[in-house]
Amino acid sequence: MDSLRLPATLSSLPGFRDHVCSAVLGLAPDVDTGMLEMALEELLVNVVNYAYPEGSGDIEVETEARGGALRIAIIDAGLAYDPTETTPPDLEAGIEDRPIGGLGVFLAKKVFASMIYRRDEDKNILELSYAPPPSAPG
Amino acid sequence: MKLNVEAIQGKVVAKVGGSMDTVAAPSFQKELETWIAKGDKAFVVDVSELEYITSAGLRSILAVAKKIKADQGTISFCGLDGMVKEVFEMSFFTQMFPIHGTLDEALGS
Repeated sequence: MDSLRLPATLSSLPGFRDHVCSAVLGLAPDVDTGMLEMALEELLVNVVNYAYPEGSGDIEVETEARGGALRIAIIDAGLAYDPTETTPPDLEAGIEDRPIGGLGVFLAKKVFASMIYRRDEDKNILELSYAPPPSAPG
Repeated sequence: MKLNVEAIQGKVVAKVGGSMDTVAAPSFQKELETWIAKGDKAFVVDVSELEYITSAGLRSILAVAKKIKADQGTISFCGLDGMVKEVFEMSFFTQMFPIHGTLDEALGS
């Protein structure tokens, strides 16, 4: 298992992205990581924005290859927040009625094979599983 | 993110490239809002050079679209490809907005 711990700030996002992408490319060298980067960013930005309203804290991202898939854990010691409980957005609404926001977690749920949340003492632990898609031609 | 906005054939064409992420998206919204404020009503967003988008990008697009719609204006998109296309489809943005293959098609609509 590889782990990376960085401050919960937007400037940490590239480091986390590289950490996870290199783990995925170790499993599937040809995979297009765009969707994975987006999904990871959605979840990390939520932690950056909401976990530590009173000050600063860290985020830890663990990666581990398991049987062709990648297990990713996002861990913080901030306010309890379970993204799996997020209400899905109204996708059918027109421009005027469509609420702004609420798409981030929805998109992440589409990309990860599974997303399991648990609160462990004072920590949020979000366990993700990512199965690299078959490479697109070209 | 790269952003170039110009008037072409009576429409405002915003050509966006690179990444439209949490950090970059607000500047897209700000730039388009200045054109809306000037009274422009017909907008085309060319995303053929856009490689990456997150929900922050979608949020900026929707905020801009709501303003355009409130002014009885139009906004369409062209050049969707790769992960940007995938994210648009997942979010049903492809159903909310007119989507064209090329800029010429968008200008001719």
